[in-house]
Amino acid sequence: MERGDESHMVDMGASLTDSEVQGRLDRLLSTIRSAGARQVGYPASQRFDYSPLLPFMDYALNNVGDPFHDSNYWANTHEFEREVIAHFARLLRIPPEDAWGYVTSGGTEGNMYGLYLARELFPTAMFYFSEDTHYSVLKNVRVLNARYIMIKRQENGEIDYNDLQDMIRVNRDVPAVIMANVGTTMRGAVDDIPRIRDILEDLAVTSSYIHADAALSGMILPFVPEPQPFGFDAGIDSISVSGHKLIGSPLPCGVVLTRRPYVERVGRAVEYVGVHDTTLSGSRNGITPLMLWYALVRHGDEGIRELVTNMLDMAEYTVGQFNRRGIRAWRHPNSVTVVFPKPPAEVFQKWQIAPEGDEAHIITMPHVTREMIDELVTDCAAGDQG
Amino acid sequence: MEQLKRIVVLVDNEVGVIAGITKVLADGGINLEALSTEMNGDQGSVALTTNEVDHALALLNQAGYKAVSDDAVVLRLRDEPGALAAVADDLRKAGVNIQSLHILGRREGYATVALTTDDRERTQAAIRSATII
Repeated sequence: MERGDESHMVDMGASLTDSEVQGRLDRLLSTIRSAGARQVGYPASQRFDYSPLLPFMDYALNNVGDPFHDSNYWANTHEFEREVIAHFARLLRIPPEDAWGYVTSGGTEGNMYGLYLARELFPTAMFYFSEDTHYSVLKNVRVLNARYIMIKRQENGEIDYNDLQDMIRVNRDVPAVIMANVGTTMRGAVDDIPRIRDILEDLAVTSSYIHADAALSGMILPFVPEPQPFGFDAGIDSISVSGHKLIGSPLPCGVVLTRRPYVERVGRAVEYVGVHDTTLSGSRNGITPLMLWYALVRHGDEGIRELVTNMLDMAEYTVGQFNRRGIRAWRHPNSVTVVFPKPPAEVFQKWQIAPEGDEAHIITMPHVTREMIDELVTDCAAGDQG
Repeated sequence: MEQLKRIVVLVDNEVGVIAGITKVLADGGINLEALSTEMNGDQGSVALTTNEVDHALALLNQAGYKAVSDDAVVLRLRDEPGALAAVADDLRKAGVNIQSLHILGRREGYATVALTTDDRERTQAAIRSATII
């Protein structure tokens, strides 16, 4: 069904027969199933099985409020959510007792939370982020009414450190909040967090905050032998990681983690208005914390490490297949994002690929197979010759 | 009715670009009060004035154009180290506070930047390190 094709739309106010309802749902399911087979450009794993959790769908779960506070609403999964946060704290290199966080609706909410925290701590701050930063950050800084400066990116997708240094120097009288990318959306580039910290120290900036957007790479770098610096030990103050990307989930989700004292400071301000909820959302679903918990304990660290190794191997295979056909493709170390020249329009009609400017990328998520890569590379090569 | 305002559209310098923009606006029922163009190499800008600025911006951006309203000062500057910082320094010396600085595009050795500040008129007067579009 094409977007905008409204021939199947029904009067929602009218009662439909069982067969009409089933027919509509069957058509949707068929569309979704066929879309998955050609999805190589977006970081969403399609390999998961949450069937043991289906009984929980019969209950009105709600994780309203801070998962570390008692809730008056008993049908919650806060206990599992706290275990998920403790697990991510270990992966992201902060002692669990020093960390605070919650399961978000996805990477954007996690970024929003990190930037909100920074703005609460430093209301007069200037926010800095590279032009390769995910578009949602622009939305976030506008919602927060924060002042911001977009910094150039280098060819490889990392932030231009000289430009960042120059800009912070001009504005060194106000706190600096830096949104660092740990794996950019288009090129998988990881900003050098220790170098950013050095810039802040060299310029004697007294108040600063680094939030890391580690949507996809936050689940990859903890499991590779030589990761780029990415965690709290590298000097970040908060981090957002997507849950549905690598682990896979029918519902988008993620986690945000920060240093506990920051939230306690902001929490005191929140209590003035009589609300003991330090999260952004209020009512939050109780299913995704359960899904993350289930997936993490089922895989275990070794299972995720194997998943990551296979994805990286597939990315390397993809680069090799492109290059063998004379198409220049590349990727960053520890990245499953393979960048290659934007293929012709007919390739986009067949495959779900993300384009930007003259480039496009493939992300070798767990469901991407060698057969899919071979077919895609053949299509791209044929398009090149055409 | 909205006030007359200017919109700047960043374009490639190619045949039919103005026709494309005016068609999008005409199809959307937008009346133009003025339109001017400025081309530099293979890039350029189209400045247009209308009293339906919000609607026009939405139509142009939906059609894939990079369009910004007059709330922002649009600058063209060399895409080289320190160029953006020089603009920020101009503003600092003039006591103007940056609210947002957004890179719209970088091509052929030049960058196009949209800038909003707490004082638009003083911003225009203070900028010495870039060309205001």
